Amino acid sequence: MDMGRTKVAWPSTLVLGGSMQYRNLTGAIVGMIVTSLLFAAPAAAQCEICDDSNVTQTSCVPADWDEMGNTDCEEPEGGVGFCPPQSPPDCWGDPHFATNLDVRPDGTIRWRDGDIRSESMVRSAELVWAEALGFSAEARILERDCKGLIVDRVYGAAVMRALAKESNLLVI
Amino acid sequence: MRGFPLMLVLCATPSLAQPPVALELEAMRTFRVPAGFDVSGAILLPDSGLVGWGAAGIFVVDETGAPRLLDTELAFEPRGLRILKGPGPAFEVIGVRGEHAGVGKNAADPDRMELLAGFITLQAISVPDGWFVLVEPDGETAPSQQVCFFPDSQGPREEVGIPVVRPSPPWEHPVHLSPAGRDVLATEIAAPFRTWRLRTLPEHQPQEIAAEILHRDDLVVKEMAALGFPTERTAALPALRLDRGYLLQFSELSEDRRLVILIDDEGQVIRSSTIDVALGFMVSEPDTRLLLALRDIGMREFVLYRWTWGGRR
Repeated sequence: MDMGRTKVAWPSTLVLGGSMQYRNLTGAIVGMIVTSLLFAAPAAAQCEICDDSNVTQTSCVPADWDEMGNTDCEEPEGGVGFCPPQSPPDCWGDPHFATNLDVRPDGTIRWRDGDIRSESMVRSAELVWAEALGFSAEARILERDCKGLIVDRVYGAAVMRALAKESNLLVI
Repeated sequence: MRGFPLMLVLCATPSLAQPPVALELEAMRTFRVPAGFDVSGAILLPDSGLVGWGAAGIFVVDETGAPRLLDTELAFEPRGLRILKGPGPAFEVIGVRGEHAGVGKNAADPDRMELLAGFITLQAISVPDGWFVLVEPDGETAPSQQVCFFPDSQGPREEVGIPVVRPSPPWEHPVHLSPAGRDVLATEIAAPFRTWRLRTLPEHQPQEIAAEILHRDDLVVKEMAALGFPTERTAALPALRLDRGYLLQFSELSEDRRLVILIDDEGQVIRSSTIDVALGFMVSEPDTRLLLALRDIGMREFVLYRWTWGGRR
């Protein structure tokens, strides 16, 4: 899955250039089509936010993230209004890590200073993003390599809701 | 013929001797958590409604299922709540503001007395004759939590001493408190995830709190190893009292996976199982076999379960 291919551009300068190469209308139209076909499937768009040419727009992290992952990024359509937070992979081995978190009664976590983030919310957000970009709920988001999060599975809110609502009986 | 009844008894004995091993939870009701509300505690009301609280205030969900905010501009952040007898919803709340903890009829107007100077009040659990309060010395970086008991029978709370677990608390990590009749359970959040039952010793003066461990020290860690739960990424949720034994629950923090261990009153494992939903059990009512859970399924909601014991070994 190349999420970078979701951004499709139609640069007006290329259309203009195409019309100059052909003297008749048919030629111009053909030229436009050929030109657009050449450019309509762009290479992975460079991240405009963190200005890193090695990552794509959809995998980079907004530059205005603070240390706790807060951002003013736009809410995806029907989305939950936040970007996935930075993962604390190096913290898991820290014996004090769990004690520095507030564990909610449902078992999700938040940072003690009030920044509310949890892995399940990450996955919910990832799913919304994936769906907004046209991918299915089963999409595997393999990496976010710009201060980001490596997520190998996407469990979305819809999936969890289906699991939880499937039966009124829970056997433990 | 005299041996016939004996034979029947012998035939029936194996099945009678095998206790039920699974807890079957039937969802009775669901309650939507008010939008933007981060729940930190809840108690059930007698009509199967509930009162929930968090930093944003206190809300009541009655038989209609609609949440109703009671206090949204709190002077104190609730850390524990009990229902007072009388008409209408009336509560006694233990809350905190900065270094101060207070108790009052509502969180917006507490008595603003210092329960324990120099300590941060983390959690308060109401029991029939008082409050168990979990505190942490202010300014200490290492977890060194204490549990204190404040009996209702004593006079002005300013005069109450500091009855604590004696000798020093046995836990190595921060703990959750949860009610268990007249006692409370204290569960270590991190490995080895031990759980103690704490009870007051009123015959001792000054009053003491005794701690009795519920199971072997390595019981939880061994169950986790068998089920592939990484102990360093797992946090315990509060243990809950059942009508027989206890429910121990654990959250794998990087997943929506929960481990539930049922143990009997002797501390032996009845059953271990996993749930792949972001869910935690908050309140148990052993008399009515009601279990209140909070789950995150894209939205947060309470689920009220009624449990029955089923399955055989």
